[in-house]
Amino acid sequence: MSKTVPFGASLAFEERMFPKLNAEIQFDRDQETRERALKSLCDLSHNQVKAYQICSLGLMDSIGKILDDPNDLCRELATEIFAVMCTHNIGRDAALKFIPKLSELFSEKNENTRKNVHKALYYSSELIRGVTQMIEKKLIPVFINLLKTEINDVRCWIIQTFHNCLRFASDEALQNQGFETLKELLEVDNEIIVEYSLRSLAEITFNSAGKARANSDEKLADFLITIIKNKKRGVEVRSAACAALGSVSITSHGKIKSVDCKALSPLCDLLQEDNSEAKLMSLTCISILSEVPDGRSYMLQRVELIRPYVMSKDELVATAAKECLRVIQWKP
Amino acid sequence: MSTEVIPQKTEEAKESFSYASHPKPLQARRKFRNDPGAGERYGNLMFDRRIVRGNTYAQSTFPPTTQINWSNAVIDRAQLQDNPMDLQRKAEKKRAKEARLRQEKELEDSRKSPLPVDGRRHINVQTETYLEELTNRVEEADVTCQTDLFLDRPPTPKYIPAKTGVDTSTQIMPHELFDFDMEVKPILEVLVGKCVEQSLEEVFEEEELENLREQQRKFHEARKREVLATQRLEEQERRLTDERERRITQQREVRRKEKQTAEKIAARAYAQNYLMDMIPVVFGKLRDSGYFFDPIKRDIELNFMADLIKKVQGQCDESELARLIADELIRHVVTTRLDEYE
Repeated sequence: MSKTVPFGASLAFEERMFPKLNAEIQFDRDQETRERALKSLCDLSHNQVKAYQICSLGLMDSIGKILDDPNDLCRELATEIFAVMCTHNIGRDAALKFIPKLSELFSEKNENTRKNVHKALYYSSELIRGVTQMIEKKLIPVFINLLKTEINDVRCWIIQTFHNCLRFASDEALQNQGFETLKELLEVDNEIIVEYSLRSLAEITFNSAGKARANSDEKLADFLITIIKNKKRGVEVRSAACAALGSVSITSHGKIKSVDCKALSPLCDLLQEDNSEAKLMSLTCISILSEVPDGRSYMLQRVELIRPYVMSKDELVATAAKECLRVIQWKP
Repeated sequence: MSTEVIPQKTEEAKESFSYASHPKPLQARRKFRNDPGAGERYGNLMFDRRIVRGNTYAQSTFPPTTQINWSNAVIDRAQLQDNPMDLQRKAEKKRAKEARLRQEKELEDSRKSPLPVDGRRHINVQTETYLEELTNRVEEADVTCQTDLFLDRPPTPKYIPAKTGVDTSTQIMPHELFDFDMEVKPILEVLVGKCVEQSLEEVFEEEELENLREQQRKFHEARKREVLATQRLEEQERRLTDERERRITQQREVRRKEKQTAEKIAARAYAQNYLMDMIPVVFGKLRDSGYFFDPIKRDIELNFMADLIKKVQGQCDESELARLIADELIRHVVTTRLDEYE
């Protein structure tokens, strides 16, 4: 397999460009022509007008057939085309019916190919139809397995796809050891992976089964609080951890545990950050934890921290701050 | 070049014309090995080496009966003689012999010195100044010559026609045709404009994408916050309802207990009331049924009286028995008396 990327093929003018390329990528042409045609398709598909033309001329079907090709370079280029086309809406629609075929390429040797496949799947998962298809083809357990075994570059994309799918499939994920896998992922080096696994943890614990599972894990609250405390980590990671903590602490057991682990002071620190997500999440979390009497008494002394946010320009933050104050100052 | 042998026609075989191959003119031999497709090149009869040429009057004609027999069968000598080639050779030999005889005769006639007498021999002697060695061995010198085996056809030389016409020259001076600086402006404008337009488009796209992402992010945040707040409120509600339920059950329990207590009290009062009259009646009845007794009395009654009465009864029985016996006696006596009286 040649590692060198081939040059693009020579392009015909205007209307003939894509039909000619379509003819050049068929199976009966020689390898070099096909590779070069695929490369030029790669470059052309970044432009959305050309992307529309590609879809309307049915080129996606031809490219989809190349996903089975014995030649490695052809497959790599085909997956790259899919990845780029999926960044356009038209391409996403066209790529929906190739999700099963793409899922067969998970065990490719070439890591670029795998990365492109997962990129394409991530963009498809932004559509609800894409997510429902993935769930139908039972890709959730496959994703969980891959999250354990793949390299970091590829895992970034898989975890984002997984996060998108969790809105609809959190039960299935829980049954397939999703919770344990996400916990393992929290210790990886890569910032994106940690951020998205925290978000996925928050999603997975939205329903009661997830909460039960989370509450049965003794060390989770502690771990999350350490992440929030750690100012060296990025703001996104800390706010995602905050969201996860909030989701876990809704049950009484979780609440009491979190307050016992002294969650409130790092949350107040997070409130001072500039990021709107951080503010929002910390306000929500504080309101959840203030329902515990210990938490309420702690926060009653710090009401002045929250009062400025009631007048904030951001509506969400203002509402959240009002809610928070209401909870803290509630009297039976 | 294939030619087939046309069989000689015998006098007997003068049938209608039949041929084995279509008669075709002779084709000339190719001169060069890789003669590029000269096609059918026909040769001239007159310049063909295989054809016998010249005056044919002196040559013998083939007898009409001869046939050229090329087969591998045993060739008869007699048949050979009839071979036209052999005939020709024979004829030539005869001619040569005649010519030789003639020449000898001429030589003898023109000889300057007479022939040697018997017993003598004439020898040629060199009489020149410089003697020459006469040997049988002829000085030979080998000279070889070899033609190139098939020459490749040399390529045709390029046809360069002879130069005709008149030479002229012209020269365009720098600023005659156009002014570069002026002309290049619109082209540059287009180029730069297109580039800038393209990049502006891309920048707008990126900005739009950023905005979209921002919107998405905000939506996700809002959604998460909503979900968490909703869940918190749900949880609160759940707790409150749980508490309420517990309180209600507690109250119910209390009320039940109260009711039970009230019932117990009422039952107790009624029972008391009911039982108040009952005791003397019960005692009276018991006393009447003999459940309260004086033990001595009882003892007397049970033991002593029983004996006493038994004895009394015995006594009475005895007296009764006696009376019965007496009665019986009397009856017996009376009946016997009656019988006696009869």
